[in-house]
Amino acid sequence: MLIKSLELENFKVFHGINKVEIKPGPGNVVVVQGDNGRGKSTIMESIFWALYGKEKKYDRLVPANYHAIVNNTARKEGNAFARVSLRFEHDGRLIEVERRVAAKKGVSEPVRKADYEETLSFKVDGKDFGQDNSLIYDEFPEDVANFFFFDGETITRYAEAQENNRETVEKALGLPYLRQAREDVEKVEKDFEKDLRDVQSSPETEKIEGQLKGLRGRAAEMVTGLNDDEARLECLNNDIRQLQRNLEEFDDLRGIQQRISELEDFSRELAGEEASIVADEEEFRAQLPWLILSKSVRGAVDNVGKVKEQAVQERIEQGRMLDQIEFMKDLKSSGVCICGNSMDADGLGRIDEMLVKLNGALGTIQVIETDRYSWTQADLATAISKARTVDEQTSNIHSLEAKRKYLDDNREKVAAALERENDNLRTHSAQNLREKEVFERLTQLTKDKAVVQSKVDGAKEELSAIQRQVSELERLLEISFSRKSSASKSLLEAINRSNRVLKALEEMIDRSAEIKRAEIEKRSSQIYTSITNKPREFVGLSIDPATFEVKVRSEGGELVESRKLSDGERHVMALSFLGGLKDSTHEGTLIMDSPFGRLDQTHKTRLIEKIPELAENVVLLVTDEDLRENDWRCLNKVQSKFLLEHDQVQKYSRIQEVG
Amino acid sequence: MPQVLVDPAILAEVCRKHKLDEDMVFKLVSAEKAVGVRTHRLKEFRKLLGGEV
Repeated sequence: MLIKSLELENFKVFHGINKVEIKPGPGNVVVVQGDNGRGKSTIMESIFWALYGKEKKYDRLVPANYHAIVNNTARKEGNAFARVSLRFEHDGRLIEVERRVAAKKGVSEPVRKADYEETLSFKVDGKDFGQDNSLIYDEFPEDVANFFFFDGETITRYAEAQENNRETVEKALGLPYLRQAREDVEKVEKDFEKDLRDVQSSPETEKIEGQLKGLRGRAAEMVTGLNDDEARLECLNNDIRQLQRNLEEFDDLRGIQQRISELEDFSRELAGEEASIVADEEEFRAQLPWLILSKSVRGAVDNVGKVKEQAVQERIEQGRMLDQIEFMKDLKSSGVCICGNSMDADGLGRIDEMLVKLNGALGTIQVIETDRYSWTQADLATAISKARTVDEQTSNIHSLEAKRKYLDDNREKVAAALERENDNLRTHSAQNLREKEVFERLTQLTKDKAVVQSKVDGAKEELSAIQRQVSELERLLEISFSRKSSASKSLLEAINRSNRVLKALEEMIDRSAEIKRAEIEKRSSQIYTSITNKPREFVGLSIDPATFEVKVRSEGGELVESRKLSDGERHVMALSFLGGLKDSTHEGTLIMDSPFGRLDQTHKTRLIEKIPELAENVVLLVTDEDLRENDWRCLNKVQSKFLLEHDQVQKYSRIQEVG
Repeated sequence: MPQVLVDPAILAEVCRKHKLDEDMVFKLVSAEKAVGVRTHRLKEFRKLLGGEV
């Protein structure tokens, strides 16, 4: 921070507009000189207020008291406001901060803080950021502000007691932010560990596992019940099949009975037929002679024809006809003797005629007499009639014989079949059952089967649904496990990474502190040796690596504790330490308020000579006593000088630049 | 405009030693520090340490 100008208006002891401007060379020391109570420390306070809106009280920044900030005279004049404008360069940028506090509109006599309102204008390279001065906090944290604007009070405090040196130095170096980062990393790491525990005992997974357990238990129960029901169903099916077989057996039994009935019918039919055949046979036997006769007649006819032809032929050859008697004998020898009373020697014509008639129809023959038979005409007619049906009768006799054979054959078969079927009937398994009972039982079992089957089907459907749910849950569980595994892996990696970051940060803090400690030690030693009046005895300062306690290093290498030094020597040591600290942290303007404290003249002179080298610009706030005429001669590179003039009557100060 | 507090050489060396991504550690040590943004800052840290960024 290289201050370019500071403008105060009605700020505390200063009335009206007062300005300190630091111009570029020659010289880099600005001296503001004034007696006690004229506003030297107020100038430093105005910078703190402009930057942070706070007041400095005993090395601390506290909320501002607006009523105390506004100059009394100005308030009495009706100008109840105060303003500080600070212009400085940092990292090549021009920063303008203007803070203002004024009585609220309508408040004529502001007393309380609430009677005032504060405004801020913050600009970087001309760009207005309004109230947003976060850049200040980033670049010049409050905690380290003391070390780039330090006053005699701070020097004295460090000279008397090196309290919390390490903490102070770490603040100056910004290391608390690294520690803060470390704490935050630790917190995040703990969050990761908690997340890991949560993931490993994931409620989602537990819920799915619980559901799965319940469903699997339910499925196991259902399978057991289903097995029982299926076994019962199998029993029912067996029973039903048995009953159905029984019913089929009843059919079989009825078949046997039917066959027996048919066989009996057939047997009776055969018996009827036998009677018919017997009758036919008796009739046939009764007709047999007639049949024989008719056969004889036919034979006779044939023979008559042959005899006649032969006789005719012989008679033709002999020139005569055979004797009729012989002729008749011939006829008789042929088995059929036909004779007639009317037949005579020339009865040939009649025989011929008869033969013709016999050969043709035999119907016209009136009487046939033989030695054996004496047929009446009626007999002859009967014979003729029978003769007519001789073929038919012959055929009938064959049919009758066949029938008899069929009858004989079947009667035995039927008897055997009947015996067999009756045996079957006697030994049939359904013989002792009652079909109605079987049917009723079958009906009942079929109903039972339907009930059990419905139950089994329902159970299978439910089981199938459960199995589908189980599959879905197993899939979700697998996903959950996969996620769990993936999340656990990520978290473990994050924890591991956090651990390494923690170690790295710790190492960075230690190494940064050590590097800075060495830098501060070197720089503060340089300042110390240039100021001390015992440069040969005390060759430098030593800063303890652990506590950052500052000790003076003697020529022999021994370390001298500050309590063994004089007040002045301690002051030099503290000034050198703070100077070294400032130099090692921020370049820019160093404001030193009454830095000479308890220094003796030698130390004071050495410090005065050293002042231009302490920073790029140095603002020295001193009293007349601090810088006497001789001192002025030692102070080099003075750029400008300001006097703090005080109006005893009005009780306010003003800053006046002097030539 | 965060203030870089760590010497880049130290940062690089420590990150190499602890096998850490230098950019990630740089973001951690230079993250916004204002008190009012602590929650946001922790979220950023979580992302960084969780390997999301």
